[in-house]
Amino acid sequence: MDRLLDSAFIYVDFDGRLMTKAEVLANVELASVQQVVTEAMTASLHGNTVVVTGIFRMKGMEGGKPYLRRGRFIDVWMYKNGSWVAISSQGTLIAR
Amino acid sequence: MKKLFSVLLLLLIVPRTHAQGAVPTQADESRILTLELAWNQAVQGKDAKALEILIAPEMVYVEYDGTLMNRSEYLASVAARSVHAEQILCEPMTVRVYGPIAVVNGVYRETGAKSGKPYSHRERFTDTWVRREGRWLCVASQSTLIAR
Repeated sequence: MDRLLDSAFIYVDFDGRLMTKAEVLANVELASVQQVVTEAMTASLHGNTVVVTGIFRMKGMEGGKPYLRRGRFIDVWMYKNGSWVAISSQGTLIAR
Repeated sequence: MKKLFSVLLLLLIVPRTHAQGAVPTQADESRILTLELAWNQAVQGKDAKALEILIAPEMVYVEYDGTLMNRSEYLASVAARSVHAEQILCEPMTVRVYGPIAVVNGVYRETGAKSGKPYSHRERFTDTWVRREGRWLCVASQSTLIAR
């Protein structure tokens, strides 16, 4: 995952928390996510940058309790130095 | 709704960090922050015409409740009379400029009434801007409620 994220990557979690790349990588190691499924993704190209919009469903355990979340995300990817890296990502839970 | 804030708060808006990996360009950062302010003022005034010059045709917008809107849907939502923002305060924003791409992160508080019911939100947003033919246009905007 380290190679997928730009050094200046910023992530906004479903609860509004902002995380840097280092914080995201640390959080991924701690999280007990059992399944992540994406759907309805669309991408728009802007030069060397792509904006991806989609829906995620995430299932896992937190504090000993199971959770199931469904949200919408926007990821921004950029082609840098011969590879694609994410520079931004945000998730928002879908009401209902 | 898109965040709004008073003109006075513009004085507090200073790019706080030059993120590692992003190329710092002060003029672009200042320009984008000015556009963010113009956006907010247009929303506050329900001025969809003013917004049209800031938003790319392919813009996608994700509302705090996960609703996805395209450009025309977003402009219609701004013009809707059912939402009235009474007070909106924005905290300092961070801008990362990658040549013709810029990403803005920030937090705003908004109180008002929607369909006659009062609301109070604190939200974190990410706006993505693209420089096209000498103009910056927003291609993506997303807000997420901050848990209390």
